[in-house]
Amino acid sequence: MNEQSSSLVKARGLCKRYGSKLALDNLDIDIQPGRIVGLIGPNGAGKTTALKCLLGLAPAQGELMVLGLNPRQARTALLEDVCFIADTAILPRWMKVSQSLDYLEGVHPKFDRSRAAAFLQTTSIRFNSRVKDLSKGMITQLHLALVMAIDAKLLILDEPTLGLDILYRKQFYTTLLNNYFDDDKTIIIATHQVEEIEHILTDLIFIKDGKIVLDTAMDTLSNTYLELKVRDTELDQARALNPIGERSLLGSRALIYENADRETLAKLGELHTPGITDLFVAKMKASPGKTGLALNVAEVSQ
Amino acid sequence: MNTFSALIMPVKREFWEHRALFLLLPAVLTGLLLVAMGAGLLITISGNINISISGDKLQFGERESSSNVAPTDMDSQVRILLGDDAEADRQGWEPIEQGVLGTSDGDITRGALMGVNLLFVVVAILVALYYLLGSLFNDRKDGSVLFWKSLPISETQTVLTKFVVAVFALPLVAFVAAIVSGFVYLLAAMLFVSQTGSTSIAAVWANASVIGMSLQYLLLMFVIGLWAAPIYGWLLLASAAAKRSPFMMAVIPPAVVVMIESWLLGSHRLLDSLYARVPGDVVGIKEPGFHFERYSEILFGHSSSAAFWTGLIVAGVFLAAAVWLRNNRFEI
Repeated sequence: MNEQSSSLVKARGLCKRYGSKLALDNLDIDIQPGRIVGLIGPNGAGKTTALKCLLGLAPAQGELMVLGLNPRQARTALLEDVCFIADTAILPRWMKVSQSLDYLEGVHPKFDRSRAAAFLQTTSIRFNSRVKDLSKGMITQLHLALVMAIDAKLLILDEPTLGLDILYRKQFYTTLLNNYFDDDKTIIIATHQVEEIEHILTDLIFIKDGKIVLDTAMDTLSNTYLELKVRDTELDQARALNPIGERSLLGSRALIYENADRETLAKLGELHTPGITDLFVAKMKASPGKTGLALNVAEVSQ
Repeated sequence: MNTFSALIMPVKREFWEHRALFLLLPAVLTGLLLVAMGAGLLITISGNINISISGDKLQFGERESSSNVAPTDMDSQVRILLGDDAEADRQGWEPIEQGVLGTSDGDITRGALMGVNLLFVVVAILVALYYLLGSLFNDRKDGSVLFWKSLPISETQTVLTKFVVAVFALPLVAFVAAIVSGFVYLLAAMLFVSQTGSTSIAAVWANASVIGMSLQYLLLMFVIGLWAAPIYGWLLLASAAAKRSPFMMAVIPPAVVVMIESWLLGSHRLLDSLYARVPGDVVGIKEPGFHFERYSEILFGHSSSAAFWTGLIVAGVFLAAAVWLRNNRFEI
């Protein structure tokens, strides 16, 4: 299969500058259909900027095609096949739930009203409620109901669960997987809350200071990255093998390696595939930059 | 979904969003007006105070019973009030607000209907100005702009929708409200006449052309809106450009230019051309009656059609700039 032509999203040398700040620094991205891609980075890393470029909301330098279209020039056409939820609680506050259904039915060629209505039946959201009377979690549910009823090819979520309590956060992704996702659909999720989406991703992109520091499929992650648990006695030996990250566990240390020799490491202790959270911390530390890292590490490890 | 619904639904959305301003306000005004007219009718007929609605103000007048031979029976009074001039002549009763309405003397039914129409015209214009100023700002302020932008509606359509709502849809609301008010007023007047045993219900009816008059005012509002298009376009542009206050954004730049112009050149051309575009002024909203020739002169006549089309072009430039801002600088 020709990967280039089947790419849903294809970016080459994507750059975006805000004044003197380079928000996106020469990004190359390829996203295939039927994937769930996590775009993960600390606050201010360029996630939202990248998504805005994909959606044609901001101009950028470099080559960028989404569904074979230039997002800046063909934004309206593109939006028939691309949905996005930019943040929680951006639905207009005056709108009634029923009006939101009417509106989408009126303007969106791929909106299936009965689907949205059926999903809303399973929630406590009433059709004659106004958005301003709904809780933040319910607003997200409503937005999700609207978006899931659109038969789009690409769904872009930017921090979709920000500010929601844990029940809604779990439910959000469960619903997305069970009721929406299939082989014809692609989802891009930008977040800094890695642990939340760890289990549903098929692909992983780490971004930091506008640069991609990791771009891998989840099933090949274990080929490249290894986590070694060592006791203190083997610690010096392990450290000599250039780990990209290290953290302490109860009575031992865990070191993360990139492209290391599995045989050599196995002699020193237990080998695992690292968790994404730990890998994220390691990668962010391994490529020091301007971003306030201490803060973000604290957020990730929460 | 089809093309038609994709065009209509955004207009509907404006009415959902501004329900209070677009629909409730005219409805409440209609109600208040009917109460006022009912009371006015009663007072006029039973008491010594003469009230008529003329232009955009109520006229109060003491009835000069000494100089005028006031008709004694209720029925002929009502007939005079409702515009039966023959009855007035027969009674030798001089109408008090002679000439104010610029139509046949003492034609109160017609005057009242005109007043109603004018009121709704003025309200429609004020609502349009207020609405336009907020229309491309509020969604950016509350963050819902990203929701609207997530749907396959172009910014060009969004901006044009707001313009069309202000120039055409709001006048239609005023039109409907004026017709409803007019008919209820007529109904009340005829009921009153029938109660007093008059036979002139047909005369009341014949004297008033509710729909015809409102249609004329509807046309008037369209002309006003199109003539004032540069101002409407400027308000949309200010609304799209504002980071804090669309009002300041709309007022300060022209004010500064006007001041600089008068300071440096000693002229006030911008002020003059602004004044010429004030909604309603050009078509002589203060002058009563309907002047079709005048409106067609404004639109197509030799003297002003160049100015009219120039205005539309300027409005087009402002709208295009607003679209550009919506596409490129929508974040606050």
